[in-house]
Amino acid sequence: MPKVVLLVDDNPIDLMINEKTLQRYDDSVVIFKANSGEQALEMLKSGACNPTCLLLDIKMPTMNGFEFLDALAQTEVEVKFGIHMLSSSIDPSDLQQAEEREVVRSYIEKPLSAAKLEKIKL
Amino acid sequence: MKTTDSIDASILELVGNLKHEHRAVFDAQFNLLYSNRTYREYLRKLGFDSINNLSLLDIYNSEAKEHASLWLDGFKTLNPLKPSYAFSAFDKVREENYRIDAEVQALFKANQVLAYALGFDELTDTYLENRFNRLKSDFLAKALMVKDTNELMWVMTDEILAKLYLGDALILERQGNVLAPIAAYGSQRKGRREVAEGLKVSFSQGITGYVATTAMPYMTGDSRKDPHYIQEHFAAGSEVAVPIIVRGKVFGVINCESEQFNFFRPIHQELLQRTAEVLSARIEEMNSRQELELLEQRHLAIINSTPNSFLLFDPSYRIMSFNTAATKSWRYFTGLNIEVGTDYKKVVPKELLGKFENLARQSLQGGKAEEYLSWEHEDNHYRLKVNFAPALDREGKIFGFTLLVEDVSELYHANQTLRAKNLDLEQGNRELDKFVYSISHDLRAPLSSMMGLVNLIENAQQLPETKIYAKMLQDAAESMDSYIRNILEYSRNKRFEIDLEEVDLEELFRDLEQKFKFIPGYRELNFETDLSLKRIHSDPYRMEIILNNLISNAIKYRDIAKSKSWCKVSISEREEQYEIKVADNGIGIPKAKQANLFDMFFKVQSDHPGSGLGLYILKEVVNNLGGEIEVQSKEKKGSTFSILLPKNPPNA
Repeated sequence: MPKVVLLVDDNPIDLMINEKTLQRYDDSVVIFKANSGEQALEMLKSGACNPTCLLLDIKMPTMNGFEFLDALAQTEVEVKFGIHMLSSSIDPSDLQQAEEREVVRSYIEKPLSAAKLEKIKL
Repeated sequence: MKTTDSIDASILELVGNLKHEHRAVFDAQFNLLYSNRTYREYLRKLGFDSINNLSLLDIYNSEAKEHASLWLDGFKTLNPLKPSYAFSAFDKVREENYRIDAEVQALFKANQVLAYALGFDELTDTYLENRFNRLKSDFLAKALMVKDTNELMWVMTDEILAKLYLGDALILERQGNVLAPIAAYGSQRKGRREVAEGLKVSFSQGITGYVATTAMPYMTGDSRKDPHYIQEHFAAGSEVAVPIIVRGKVFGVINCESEQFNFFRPIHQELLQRTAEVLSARIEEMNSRQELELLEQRHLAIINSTPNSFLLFDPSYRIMSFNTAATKSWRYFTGLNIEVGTDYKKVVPKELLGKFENLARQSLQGGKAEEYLSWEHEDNHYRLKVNFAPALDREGKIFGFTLLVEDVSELYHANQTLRAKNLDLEQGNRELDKFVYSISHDLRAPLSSMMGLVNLIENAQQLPETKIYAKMLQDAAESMDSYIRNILEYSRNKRFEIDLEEVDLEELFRDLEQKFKFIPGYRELNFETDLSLKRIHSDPYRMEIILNNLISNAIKYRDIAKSKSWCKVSISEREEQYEIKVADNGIGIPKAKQANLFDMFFKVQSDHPGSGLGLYILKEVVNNLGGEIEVQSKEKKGSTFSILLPKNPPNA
């Protein structure tokens, strides 16, 4: 089964960095990108993207990462994929919030790297 | 009786001049012209039952020769320059000595005697006692005016001792171990208020010393034979002395002496003792008055030393008393003058009458009350602490109430300032927390991007790819840089005092242009200024923040789809305000985002590298200058920011 990763980040540079890092780590990975929570939600609901893994930024305008999770829970989308928070925040309260969410498997500090991808067993 | 009309009036005048109990008038030949009833009785005692055709010479030739010669000798001393003569003498009536106080007068016409008059008082015990009682009331009336004991002694000497036929009199005061004369009548008096010098005697010396040590009166008929006698103030004779006792202690001695032996009788000692008592009572009264005054003075010193106002009201709310601070403060607080006796309605401002009455009633019933008042008078805001309390007399009875007014405005304002500072500090702390959080994100966000890009560059295979990363690296670095600059601007606006000066606008724009030159896109923009003013009175640093923010936004958010981008800045003035307008034809702001435009960390486009602080800072700066900001914007059409700044910022 091919690995499909959905990247959610409002920062285009980070989106690009994450994409390139993923490609270099494993060029067989299929990558989808969303620059907001709303867009990601749309892609999941419509079935345009069926990821095996979701890398979610926290700090985004209008809908942040946690709000996205809340909104996702409201939809009929079945979360069969692993969700990892991917953020530049080193604020303990963000880390704590991530730990409190059952759907969140891990918390990754930006920047993304091969070593970090290895850890989460993509 | 020989009478002539021509001397009728003169007789009346002579008799009128004589104040004595016994009175008579004689013609130049000593024939009795007139006699009053008491003198006729006296004459009867001398053996003259009838006064018809009685002459003084008839009396001279009788058994009562001494009585007649008293007057004949007295008349002889009179002349037109000295028409009256007063003297004391002994008269002999039926072998008995009567002491009398006498006066003779003569009426002259062209150096010729027209008539003689005599008058005398018998110094009997009863007479002396009556006289003393009269003198005593005269003395007490005068003594009321006297403030100092020394003066009191002189008044006593003049009003009583001098008028009781006591011979020479001296009042001595105990001064440590000596008795010092402080007032005198007779031979020891040197001036109006002066005693002969060198008269101090030891406390235990002589008759006065004896009286002073024993605190008992003493009298001697012949001082030569007296064991206590020493030559003090007078030559030997008879002497009487009584102690003046004030509050159980010997204050001094009244001493009278006469050259005549056996001059003094028990009545003299008795009257002197009574005189000493009157004197002592008066001294005690003066002392207690002095003590009371001293006490009052001390209390006043205490009550007047406080800056607080004390007022005392009677049960009908009239002012009974107040301290000096009250006079001044009351005028400050209300513009009204307080006076003793004033009704409360005249000194308590109308708005406070109800409250005053209520609290006054309470305190008259024994209650105490404390209240804080916010009070305004002539643009001064006072915060007053008022205390009402019952005023109690020695028996604990309420005779009024006191009002204490304390101006706690300073304390209150200091407290207010402290509270405001505290709020400020709390807000500052919250902002700091927000900053720390924000920094952990926003400052770290570009940093983590940079770290990611460095990773990519490290593993990049080709130069073109590396160049793209390098460009991105630069953007991330710039974003971080502007973020840090913004934070600095924010903090400077918050902490720096507003500093108003004349700002040269043309110069300001020249400086700004130097900065804009480096913002990408500036050259593609048509930048115009419309300055109806050359200079404005404002804070130059904050003016720069305002213009820099708005203009750089116009550059950054220009609409590249349009063939020509422009930005117009106009600065004009209204009556009390400056108006700054920055208009552009940029991408505009969606209506939904306009409400949050000035929020902290708010970004219209999340993918834009800005910090989300620019407009927040702008709003803070405008607020700080007491101004207002307004935005009109339409997506894809452009935006216009209008700022109104007061010419005199309230915080300056």
